[in-house]
Amino acid sequence: MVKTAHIINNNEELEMQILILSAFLVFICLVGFVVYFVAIYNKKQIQNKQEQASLQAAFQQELLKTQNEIQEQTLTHVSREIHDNITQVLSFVKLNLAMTGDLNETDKADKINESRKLVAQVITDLRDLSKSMSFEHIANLGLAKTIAFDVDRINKSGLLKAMFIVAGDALSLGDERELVLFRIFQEALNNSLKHSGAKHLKISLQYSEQLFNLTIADDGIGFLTGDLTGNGSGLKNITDRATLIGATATIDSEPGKGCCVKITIDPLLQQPYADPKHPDSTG
Amino acid sequence: MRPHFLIYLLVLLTSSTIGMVRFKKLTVPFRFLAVLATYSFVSECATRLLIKTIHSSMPAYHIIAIVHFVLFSIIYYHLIKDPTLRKIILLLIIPFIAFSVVNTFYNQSFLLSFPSNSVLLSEAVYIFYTLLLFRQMLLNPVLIPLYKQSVFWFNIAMLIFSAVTLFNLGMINYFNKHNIDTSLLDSIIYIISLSFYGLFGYALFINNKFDGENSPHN
Repeated sequence: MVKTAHIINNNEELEMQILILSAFLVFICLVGFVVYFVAIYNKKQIQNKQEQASLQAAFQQELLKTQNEIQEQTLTHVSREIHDNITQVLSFVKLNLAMTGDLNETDKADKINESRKLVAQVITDLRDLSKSMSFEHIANLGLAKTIAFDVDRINKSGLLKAMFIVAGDALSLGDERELVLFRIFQEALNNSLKHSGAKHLKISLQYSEQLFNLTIADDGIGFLTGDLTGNGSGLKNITDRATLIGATATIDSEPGKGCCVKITIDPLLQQPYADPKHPDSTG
Repeated sequence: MRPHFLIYLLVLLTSSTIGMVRFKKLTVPFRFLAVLATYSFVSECATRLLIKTIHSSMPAYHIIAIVHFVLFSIIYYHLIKDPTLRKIILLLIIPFIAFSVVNTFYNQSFLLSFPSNSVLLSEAVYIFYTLLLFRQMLLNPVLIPLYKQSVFWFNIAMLIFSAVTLFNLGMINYFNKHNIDTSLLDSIIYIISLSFYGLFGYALFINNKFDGENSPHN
């Protein structure tokens, strides 16, 4: 009887010891988990910081490249304008004024008047040119107005007929992002002008709370999208730049059916965006 | 009223006051946490009234188990970003309520028994939720130091409280069965409860919806 009681006591003592051990193990596991989590999280945080830094560096580098390209394109445009338009008009004015010496008073007055009108036109053209020479005009005017300005210039040149539509209330997408979007627009425009042989171009901006779309569609010769494997392709640049600002680029084209470049910024599907100054930034 | 319980009520009152004062500055899940802290304070006060009137505080605990599960599920619904998991979290509320009601009517009396079955089940589910949230935090680390993240303190409080409560409830059965003094377990659960609501208060104190841009968890 005493022996049985002793065994029962021993069993209870053993159970107690197992319980205390289990409690200790639970405690150790919890503390261990918390310490492990904190350590892993800190490690991931450092990794994330480094990734952010390299992403931001890449973004700044790309931004600089974009600015250089815009500048280059602008200078080409300015040079062409000065050569084809302003120099021609001023030469005509010079000729006009040179001729006035042999004319009677009425014809002289007419020539001077005509020259004054031409000089006024040159002043307007120079003012427009000076506006297009700075990056700040994108920030000041906004993407929609800057594109409208370019569309107007293309229409004046007569190279093709461009139509521009803005749907929704134009909101700022951030200076740097708008600069990259403008460069994408220029790149798509260049492709249409140089390679597509298009007669019509349709550009549209669609703003809504949930979505932003920039679409550039032409009616040119088109191409097979599968052929776009070369690294130097302007269309590849468009895709890369879109990724950089957290957007997605869709390029649709078929031989004989023109080309449509669509840039979409969807806040719900937005990719990490490295611009540290913008609220959508992951940094 | 024992001083132990008064200290507990004081901690609860402090947390709920922090929550209510900062309510407009809190993110959506932490607004629910503020409501939960206030509800807990009111319920704990109500238990004293019940003891005086019907000599049992158990009805309050049957209701607390359900309300807590619903509120914690809503909080985790807002904190966890995976759409499938969010759906699961919402859907789990219905079977849990059904289980608790059935348990109250057929197993653990509304008036006389503590709803340990419901509490055990809910604590196990909370542990699952905390692990999901910790996983999400590891997959999307933010630049804010961990000790400044309200989500971290809230989740740590949930994990420790749920794990200890789960273990404690299991132990208490054994202790009662063998007529062992449960004061040690009571002390553990008391300290854990104080830390639980204290950490909630701290999480409510540091949470700010205007910092949300930098934190995918808030």
